[in-house]
Amino acid sequence: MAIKKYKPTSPGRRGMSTQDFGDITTDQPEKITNRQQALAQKIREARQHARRGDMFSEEAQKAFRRTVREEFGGPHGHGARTTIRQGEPLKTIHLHVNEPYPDGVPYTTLPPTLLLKFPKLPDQLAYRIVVRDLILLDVEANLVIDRIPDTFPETI
Amino acid sequence: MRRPRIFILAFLTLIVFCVRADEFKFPLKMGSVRFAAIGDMGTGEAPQYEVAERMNTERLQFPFDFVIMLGDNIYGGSSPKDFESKFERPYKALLDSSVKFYASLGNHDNPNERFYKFFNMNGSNYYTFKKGNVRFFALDSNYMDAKQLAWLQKELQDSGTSDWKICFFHHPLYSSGKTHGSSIELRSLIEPLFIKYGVDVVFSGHDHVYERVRPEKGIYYFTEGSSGQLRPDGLAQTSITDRGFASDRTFMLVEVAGDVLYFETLSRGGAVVDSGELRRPVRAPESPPQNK
Repeated sequence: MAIKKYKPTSPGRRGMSTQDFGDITTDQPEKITNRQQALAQKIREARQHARRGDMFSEEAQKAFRRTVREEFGGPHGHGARTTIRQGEPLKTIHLHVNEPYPDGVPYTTLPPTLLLKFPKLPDQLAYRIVVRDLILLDVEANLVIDRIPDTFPETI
Repeated sequence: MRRPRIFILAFLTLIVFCVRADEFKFPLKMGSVRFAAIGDMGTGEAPQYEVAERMNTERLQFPFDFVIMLGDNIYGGSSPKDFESKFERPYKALLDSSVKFYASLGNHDNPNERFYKFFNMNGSNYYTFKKGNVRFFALDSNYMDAKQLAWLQKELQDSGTSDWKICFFHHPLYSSGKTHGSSIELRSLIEPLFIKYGVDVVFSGHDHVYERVRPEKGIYYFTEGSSGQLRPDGLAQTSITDRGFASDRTFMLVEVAGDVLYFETLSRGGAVVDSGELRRPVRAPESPPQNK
C-alpha cells in the first residue's frame, strides 16, 4: 500500500504521512467484496490451525474481563450499559475463530470510554461485542481473529 | 485566561433567526456552499427511492453540489447487489449529474464501504474535506478510539477559526428519539472538543426521525435519520427539541453563505417540515501559545 505524504501547508501537516488507499478505492462493489473474501481466505490458510486464545492469552483474557468488570461496576457503568442498549445489541449469534462476521448484521456500539481502556490495535483490527463475547475482528477481511467468551455482563 | 472570554463572547453573539416555513427562501448566493443531508436511507425500499426522486426534483430549484450521508448507508448486506439497489439506482439521477456523496458509517454499514469510490471516504472511516468557507469532519461514531480522538483534536485545531466547522456522524449526541436517544458517553468525549475548537453545526442519524435540537453550548444539532427508514411516533417529548417530525421520510437542504447557514427540511412529498437560518457566532482567532 502506498504512503501519502502531505505538503507542509501548516505546522501540523509538516512531515505528516498516512496510508494512501487510493489504489484500493473502487467504483465497483464486487472488487470490494472480492478483496474482502480473498483477504479472509489468505488469513484462514495462514491460520488454519488457529484456536481461541491464540491472540488473547489466558492472562490477556483475565485482564480484559477485569477491565470490563471495573468499567461496568464503576462510574461509567451506567453510560456503558446505555451505549450498548442503544446500539442494537446482538442476542443470539455466536462466532468462532476464522469465521466471517455475518453480512448484514449490525455492529453493537462499543462504549467509547471502555474502548479507550483497551490496548490500541493496528488499523486493520477492531474490537467488537457479539452477545457477551469480546471479538477481535480483522475489519478488512471481516474475519474473527480471536474471541473472549462471556466478557460482558449477562444483563445489560 | 483569554479563551473563556472568547467563548462567552461567542455565546452572547449567538443569534438564531428562525423564520416561518412558508416565508423561507434560499438566497442562492454566488459562491455559497450548497448540499443535502440524508441519514438511515439504505433500505432499497420504495420510500428511499421516493426521497431520492424528491431530492432530484428539488435540485432543479436548489442546485446542491454534494450530499452528506449520516450512516446506515447500506442495510442488510454489502454484496454488489446491495450497493446497486440501495445506492446506485435510487441516486442515479444525482450521480449522473455529478453530485458527490460523502459518507459516514453507521452501525449497519460494513466498514469496507470506505473503499467505495462514490462514498468519497478514500479508504478512511473518518476524514475531513473543505468546500468554500466550510470545513467538514466525517466521524466514525461506531468506534471512537484514541486514535480517532487524537485525529479529531488535531484536525479541529489546525482548521483555525475562519471557516464554518460542520461535523457529521451516525450516533446523535442529543436526541429525543425513543429508540436510541442521546449518545451520552460519546458526548462526554467529543463535545468538549467541539466546544473548544468552535464546531458550529452537527448532523447525525441513527434515530429514524427528524429533529432540530435547541442550541446546546452554542452548537446546533440536527438528527436526520428518516431518509429511508422511519419510526412513526419515534420522538419523545423532551425539552431539547426545537422542531421534531416523525410522520414521513425527510431529507435536508443546506446553503452556507458567509456567516449564515440556511436550511430546509422536506418530506418525500415535498412538504416543508422545518426551515430557518443559523448565524455563526463571531470567533476571535486563537492566540498563539505563550512561552513562560
